[in-house]
Amino acid sequence: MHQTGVLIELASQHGVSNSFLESEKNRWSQLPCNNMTAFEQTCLKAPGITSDSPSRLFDHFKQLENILLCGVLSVFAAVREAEEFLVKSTFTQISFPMLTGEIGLEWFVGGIQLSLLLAIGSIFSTLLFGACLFKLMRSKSNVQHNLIKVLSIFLQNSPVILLLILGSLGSSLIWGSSLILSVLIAVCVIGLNNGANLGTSMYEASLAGEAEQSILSVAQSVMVQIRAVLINAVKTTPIASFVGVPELLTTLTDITSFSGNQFGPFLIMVIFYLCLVQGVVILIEQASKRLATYTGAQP
Amino acid sequence: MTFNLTDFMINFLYCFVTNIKIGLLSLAAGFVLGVPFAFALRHQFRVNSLIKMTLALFRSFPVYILMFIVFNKINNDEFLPGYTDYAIRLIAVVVAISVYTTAAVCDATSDCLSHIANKNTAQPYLIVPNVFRIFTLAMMSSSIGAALDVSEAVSYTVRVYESFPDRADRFLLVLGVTIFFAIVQHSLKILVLLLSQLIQRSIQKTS
Repeated sequence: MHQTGVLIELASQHGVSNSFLESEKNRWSQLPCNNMTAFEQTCLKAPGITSDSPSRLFDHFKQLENILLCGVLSVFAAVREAEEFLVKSTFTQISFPMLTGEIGLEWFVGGIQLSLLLAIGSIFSTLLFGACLFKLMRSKSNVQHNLIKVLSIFLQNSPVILLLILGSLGSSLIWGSSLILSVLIAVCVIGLNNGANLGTSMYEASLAGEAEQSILSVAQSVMVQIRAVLINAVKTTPIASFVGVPELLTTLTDITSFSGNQFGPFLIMVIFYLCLVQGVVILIEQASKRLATYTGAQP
Repeated sequence: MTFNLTDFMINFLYCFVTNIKIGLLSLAAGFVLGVPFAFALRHQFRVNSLIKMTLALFRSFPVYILMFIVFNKINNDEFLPGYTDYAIRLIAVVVAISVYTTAAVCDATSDCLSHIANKNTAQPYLIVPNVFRIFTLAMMSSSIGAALDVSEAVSYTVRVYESFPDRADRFLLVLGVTIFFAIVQHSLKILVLLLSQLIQRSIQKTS
C-alpha cells in the first residue's frame, strides 16, 4: 500500500500530514523493500525497545560524539543493574524500559521535550490571552465589552477537553492536521481557558482599584489568581494527548504497551509532573517578588 | 446517515446523568478523607505533617495523569475482581477527581471549623455553597472520563460526531455541546453566588 501511494492519497483527502507516508513510499519503492522475496527480513522488522539492534539514534551519536554514546550505554547498563537490584530486594518486577533501550529513550526524550514545550507554551499563552482579554474588557465601547465578557464566560466555563476537540476540529476544517498544528492548538486552547479566568480576575480587580491603573499594578493585585491559573494551565497540559499530541503520557503509555511493566514508567511520570508543578510554583514566587519590587519602585 | 436531534438530546442528557453521578461520588469520596483531615489539622497530632504533605501532593497532581495511573493499576493487577470493565473505568475517574475534592473539602471544612471555634453563628453555613461549588467543579471535570471511554456526555458526543462524514457538522455538534456545558456551569456558579449572598445577608441580620 505504501508503494502504490494509496495511503498518501487517503491522507491528502482527509487533510492528514503525509511526510512520514512519503518517506515510507520511497522506502518501499527502493531495494530491498520492493523485492517481494527479500523484503521480509529487512523491511518488516518491528521497532524494538531494547538496545540489541543498531538504530538511527545511535548512528547519530556515533557521528557526533562517541563519548556520549558510551555515556548513554553506561546509563543503560546502570539502570539494568538497578532494576536487578530492585527485583532482588523488593521481590517485585520494576523496570524502566525508557532508560534501557535506544528506541524507548528516543520516545521518552521526545515526550519530555513536547511536555515541556506544552507547559512553557501554556504559561505564556495564559498570560498573553489573560492580558489581551483584560485590555479588551476595559474597552469603552459597550458592544465590545459585552462581547468579550460573553466570550470569557464561554471560555471559563467550558471543559478543556471539549475546547480542545473544538479547536482541533476547527483547525482541521481550515488547515488540515499535523503535529505542529496540534501542539499550537493545545497551547492556544489551554491559554484561552485559563487566560479567560485571569482576564476576568484582573478586570474585577481594576474595577475595585484606581481608574487608570497600569496592567502591571493590576497583575500585582491578583498574584494569587495568576499563580492558580498558571498551575492549572500546567496541570491541564496532559489532556492535549486526547487530541493526538504525543506528550509524555502518550509516549510512556506506548512504551508500557511494549514492555508490559507499568510501575517504572508511571513513577517517572509522577515525578516529572510533580517537579514541573513545583518548578512553576517557584518561578511564580520569583516573578511575584520582582514584580512587587518593580511596581513599588514606580512613582 | 440520518441524525435525529431529539434522540441525540435525550441520549446526551441520559449520559449527562453519569457526569452528575461521578461528581456526587467524587464529592462523597472527598468527604471520607477531607473531613477527618480537617479535624486532625485543628489538633496537634503527630501525623499532621504527613496530612499536610498529602494535601500538597493532591493539589499539585494532574487529575488526568492520575486517572490513567489508577486505571492501569486496577485494570491489570486484578485489583478489583468481579468488577466489570465499565465499573473499573468509572472508579478510575472517580478516584482521580477525588484527589481534588479531598483537598477542597478539607479547606471548606477547616474554614467551617474555624468559624465554629470563633463562635460565629451563621458563617459556618458558608460550607454549603462551598461544597456545592466543589461538586460543580467535580461534575464538570468528569468530562475527562471521555479519554477512558466512560459513557458520559462528552464521550457520547465524541461517539456521535465520529459517525458524521462532514467535518463542519462535527464542529457544529461539538460547539453546541460546549455551549451547553458552559451555560450549565455558569448557571451553577450563579447559584453558588446567590447561596453565599443569602447566607451573608442572614449573617448581617443576626449581627
